[in-house]
Amino acid sequence: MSAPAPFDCWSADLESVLRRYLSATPVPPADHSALLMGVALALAPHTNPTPAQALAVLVDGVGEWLCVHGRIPVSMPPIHRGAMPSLSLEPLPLRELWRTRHSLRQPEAAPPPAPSWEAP
Amino acid sequence: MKRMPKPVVTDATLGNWRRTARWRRLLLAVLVAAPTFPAAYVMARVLPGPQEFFLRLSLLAIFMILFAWIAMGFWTAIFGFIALLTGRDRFLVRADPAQPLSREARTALLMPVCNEDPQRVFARLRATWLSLQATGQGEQFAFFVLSDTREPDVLVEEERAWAQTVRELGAAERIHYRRRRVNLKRKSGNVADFCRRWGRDFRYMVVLDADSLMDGDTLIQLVRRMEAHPRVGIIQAIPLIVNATTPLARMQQFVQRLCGPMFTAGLNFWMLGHATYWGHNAIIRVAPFMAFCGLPRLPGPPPLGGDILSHDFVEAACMVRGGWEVWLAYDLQGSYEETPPTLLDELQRDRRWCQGNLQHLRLLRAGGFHGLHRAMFFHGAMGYVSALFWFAFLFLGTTLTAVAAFTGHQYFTPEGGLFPVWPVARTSEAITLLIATLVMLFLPKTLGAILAVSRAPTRQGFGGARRVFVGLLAELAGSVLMAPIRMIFHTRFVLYTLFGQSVRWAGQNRGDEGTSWGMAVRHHGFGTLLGLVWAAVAWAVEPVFFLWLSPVMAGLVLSIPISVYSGRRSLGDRLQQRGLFRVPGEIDPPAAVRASRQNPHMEPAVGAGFIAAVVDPQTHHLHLSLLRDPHGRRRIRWPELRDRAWADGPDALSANERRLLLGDSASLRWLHQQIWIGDEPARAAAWGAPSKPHEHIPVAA
Repeated sequence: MSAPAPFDCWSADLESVLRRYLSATPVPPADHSALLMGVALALAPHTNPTPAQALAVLVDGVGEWLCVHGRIPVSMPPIHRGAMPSLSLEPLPLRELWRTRHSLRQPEAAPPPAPSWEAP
Repeated sequence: MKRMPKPVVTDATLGNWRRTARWRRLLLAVLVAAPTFPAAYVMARVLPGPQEFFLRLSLLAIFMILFAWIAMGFWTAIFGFIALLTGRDRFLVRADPAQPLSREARTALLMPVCNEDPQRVFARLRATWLSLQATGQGEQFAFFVLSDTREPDVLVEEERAWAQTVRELGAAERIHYRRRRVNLKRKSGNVADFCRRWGRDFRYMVVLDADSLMDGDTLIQLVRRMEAHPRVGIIQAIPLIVNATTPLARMQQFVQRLCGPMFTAGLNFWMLGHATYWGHNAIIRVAPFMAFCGLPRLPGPPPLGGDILSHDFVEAACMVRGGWEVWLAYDLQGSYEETPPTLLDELQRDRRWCQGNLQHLRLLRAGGFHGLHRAMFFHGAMGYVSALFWFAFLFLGTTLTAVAAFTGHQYFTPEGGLFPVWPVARTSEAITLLIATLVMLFLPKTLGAILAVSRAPTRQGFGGARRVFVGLLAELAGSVLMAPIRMIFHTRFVLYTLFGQSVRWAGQNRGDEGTSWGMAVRHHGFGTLLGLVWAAVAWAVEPVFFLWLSPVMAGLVLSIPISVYSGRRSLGDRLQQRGLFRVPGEIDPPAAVRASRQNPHMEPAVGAGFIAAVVDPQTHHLHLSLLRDPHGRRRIRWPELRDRAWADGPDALSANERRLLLGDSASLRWLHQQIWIGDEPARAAAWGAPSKPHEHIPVAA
């Protein structure tokens, strides 16, 4: 004869709260018992947990289940903070403008080197 | 002293294109000037009355600007027509289509969104993804949905649509979603934020719009071309309009298919490697973009200062300023976009573009830009300022005619003289000028139609030669009627901007809701009234002058029904059934376009939007996972808001309050638990939580 499950001693009200929550999740019914068992094991044995205590544990358990089953995707790759320099676009006096225009011819001869790709 | 020879810059396939570019631009300038001066001379002769010198001079100056403006478009179309007809263009960025992609050519597809319909956004993203995977070379691409969405319901639905798309496509580490909390510098800031965070991971990025769609083969071709031309910083693919449903959108789609490639080929003729970028459907080399295209704020307050709204032109100019090339790839197919469905939606977009283009005038004298890009800044602004000039031209013309009619002809000038000045009828000169102007305006579209029917596959795609020319005539009639409506709005936009009224940044309507009569009256009432008064004055002054003005007046007087009917989906469907404005690919659309029309079926959830993020377990966990503090371990940021949400329900919260709560993970977790504990069934019911297990869950699809 197998030992009673830890949640067998829960009140019908408590179990109803947890099952109601599980029914709104994409967790298949076959996994419900495992999650309830997890809640019972997480709470101190032989105690009568309140619905709030049990639900808090179940919410976290469902969150982990969703991650493990790929229902919450990885959000972003690692960040490489880099510079994005803002060049001045201040208007220039005409004479200066003419000089700048001519000085650009030389850089056009060869493309500038690409910035370093090493992560900081 | 012996001068040093200038360095000759050549490309393996493009040669020394800079020298060719100089000659071509000179040729364009001569061709624009050549008809403008004779036309101005004829105009000076046909203007009524020898008096009113300053009025005549103003009118003539405006006429010359407008004539040169349309002459530039005319010659660009002619160049493009020749290039497409002969099929020869030595200066086009090409690459070997069989060349395998280097593993280092990693490419990010960026989709910046702001309050767009998430289902449509992800339908397009999914279509692009599937098309890319079909090429077998999709593993070098990653997708980034860069959200600036502020609407709380929309942002939660974006997250749901993203998670579902990733799950269904098995793309957990290839389709990413990021939402900015602070929308600095709008779209350009959104892309810059991507560059700063992840730019070093990618050699290229393809910037899409929320309504953009690209074929996988086209993306591969773009990368290949960038690899083959290491001096190129940006290649702009030409987006073709698809999925048009309303009469206005179908007209735009038709004329763009007819003339778009021709105009772009013409632009490529004289722009060459100093082309511009249109903000989307373009591939960008990330490293020089990060080095040279960071945009500062313009000094002074908006609308002419502050963030640069139309960043794309400026970024292309900055890229060239840094020594890189920017090219148009008008030969590439498989690049698509959608167009606003109604006239009011189009005008709302134009309001934003107008402010952005007028800001460019402040950059005319900024340092280091190539002369062509300065000209493009001016050209972009002229796209809207020309409306003001056109309005001024018509107004001054009416005034001059009125003055001439009321004062009568002066046979003797104040200076005196023995002989009277006889009135001379210059009807034939006026008609010649009118014909020349009409040719300049309408010949490019006719050439586009000739190109379309000259090749069998294109002709069949348009539904045959008869449909092409019937469509062209209908489009010409429609554009003639809508031109004065656009003129009035663009004139107002220019004046608003010049007088300091800034534009509000909001998402664009891309749906088919149409324009109601009430909305049309509100927006077009002024134009209608102006048209009626103007027509009455013109009739009273001179009935012949009224006839000259009648096309303009007709557009203004009929602006309300034009706006309503041109945005009607049912009317667009009827046009489609009759084959009017049919375009290639409409009957048998490309796979990517077909796929983009199918909205993904969303999984059921408890509630939708903000409510789903609080109540529905999966949406709740998904939303928390995207916050900085997913476990809610930090302090509750908005305790009073949280308590009010629980006490009064979600309907008591404003959009801003909902957004604040969505950023507070501790409050969200607390509310989620309160709802599901069920101690207070009435409050839980206000959030739509089911009271019994297995109770029917409301489906939010």
